Amino acid sequence: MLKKKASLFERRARFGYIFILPLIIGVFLVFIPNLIQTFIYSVSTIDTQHNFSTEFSGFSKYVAAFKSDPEFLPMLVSSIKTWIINVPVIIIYSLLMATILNQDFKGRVIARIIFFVPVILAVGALSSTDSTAMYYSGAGQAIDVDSANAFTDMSALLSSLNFPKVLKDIVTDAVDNIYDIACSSGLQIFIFLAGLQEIPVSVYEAASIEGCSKWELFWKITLPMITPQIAVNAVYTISLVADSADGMFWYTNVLAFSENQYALANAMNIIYLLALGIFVSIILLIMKKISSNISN
Amino acid sequence: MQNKINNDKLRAKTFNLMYALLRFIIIFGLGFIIVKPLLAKVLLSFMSPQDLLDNTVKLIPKTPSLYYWKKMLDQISLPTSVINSVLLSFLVAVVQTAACTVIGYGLARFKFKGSGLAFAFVIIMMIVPYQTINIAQYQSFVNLSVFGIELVDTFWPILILAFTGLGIREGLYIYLMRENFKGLSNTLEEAAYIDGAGVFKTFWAVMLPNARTMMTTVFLFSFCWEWTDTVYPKTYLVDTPLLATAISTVSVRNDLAWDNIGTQMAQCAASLFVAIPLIFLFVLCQRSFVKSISQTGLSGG
Repeated sequence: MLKKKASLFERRARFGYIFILPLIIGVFLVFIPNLIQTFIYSVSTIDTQHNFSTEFSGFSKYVAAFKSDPEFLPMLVSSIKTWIINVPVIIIYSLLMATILNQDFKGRVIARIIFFVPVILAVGALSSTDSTAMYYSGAGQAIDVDSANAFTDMSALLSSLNFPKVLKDIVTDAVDNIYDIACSSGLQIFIFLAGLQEIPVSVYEAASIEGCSKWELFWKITLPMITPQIAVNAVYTISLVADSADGMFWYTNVLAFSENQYALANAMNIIYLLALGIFVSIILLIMKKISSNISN
Repeated sequence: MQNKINNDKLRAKTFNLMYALLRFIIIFGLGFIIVKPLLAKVLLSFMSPQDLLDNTVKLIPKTPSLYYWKKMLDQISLPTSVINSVLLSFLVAVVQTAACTVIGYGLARFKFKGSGLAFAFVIIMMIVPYQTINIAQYQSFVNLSVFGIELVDTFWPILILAFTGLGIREGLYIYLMRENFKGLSNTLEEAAYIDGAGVFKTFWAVMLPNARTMMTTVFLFSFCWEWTDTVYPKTYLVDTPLLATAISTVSVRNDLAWDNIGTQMAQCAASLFVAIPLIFLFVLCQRSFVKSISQTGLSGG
């Protein structure tokens, strides 16, 4: 009886492959071949006249990307800077907003909708006209002038307090980009909200009867319970921030499709991917350390 | 004694009031930052050329006109672009929702060899920006023409990518569906098996109805992101008029001697025109979306 049951589930497990068949096709026929092809293009001379036949020519394009291209390195550095600043700021911001939006107050539904709407209305083709609207609206001009002063004041204040320069930059950049951050956090707030609602109210009640302060409730209950959501949001935020290096992708596209510099463009994309990979592994290491600290 | 209790009550009340006030300020302030560009766009799009020359006009048009709306509507090749956009976004959204539901179900409810690896690939495919392998991807679709299949300048490349889990942010949808199916209890499925239903029948008749809310949410995301995407259309649909790619081509020349401000006002109008269907769709799906926050088991992990 037992044996039969096991084999039934074994047989059942095999159906899993059928369900994920589209994914298998995607990974083995599209994703991996194209990733490899990108690498091959980057180390070859490409004959665009003859059906893109390639011939190995070494890693010279990688050197060229750094040494002889004036645009690439500054763009890469600014992308990396955006990752380092935006990923933690967006996650902390969306956790904060999710905690607030999870509380009971009048107009909660409307507030949730407003914070979520940018996910569908401030993306792709629509986001480029947002800045126009911000710039030309009179209020925008007024804010621009005032806030320019405010930022110099603030950064002056922070430096007079002997704030480390890195931290100061993070704070001023975050304030500077508050619109971008608010607009890229909609989905993360959604995922955090769903996670927060999974935590049973009784846990909080028990803990506060035991004398836990609200601060302790957050650190001892909320944070450990939503670690999985933090991981997902970290991954999603990284993908969002990595995607939005518009200048860089525009540049490589122009190189490839208008100037026929396929090898150089692909080499730049590979360098970008490598940098991203290193960044992601560092983030994963940090998260592992934090979560082991929390569980201790 | 009584006094002390009253004092404590008063303190708690004041604290709560202050907290509510702070919460209101945060939500209102940030909400305003989010809504402002949209409001500004609406107002700017109804400006008339005279308003733009008038220094006293900042945000609210003095002589509202449909001038820039008309200029814009002349340039976005109606109705072809609308039909194309609706068709493409709808097809992609349907394909993505179906593919993600099936893949999510497979990853959530079956323990087969390599299921962990498959999920790892979902994450990797999500993180790798689609622009980085786009050149090779484009070339491989062009290469298919050797076999007499012309895929470039049809919907097929985008649909194939959508079906195979490589569409825009599709990894996220797969993740959401996987979490949704993971959150469902085993009893329903087991009962169906005991009653003799096969794997596919169980999926179709028992599990799918429980995924409807999340499917609506995924459909909403997918439709909206395809509707506004410009990267794939600019690669695979260069000659096909679409709304998203039309926005940046709108221009108004020679109507004001300075700057390209007229063009930008017309582009504001165009982006509003593109956004209108999304707002409708959101209002339509809103209830199921709000429900999907509170009901579905996004258990994580």
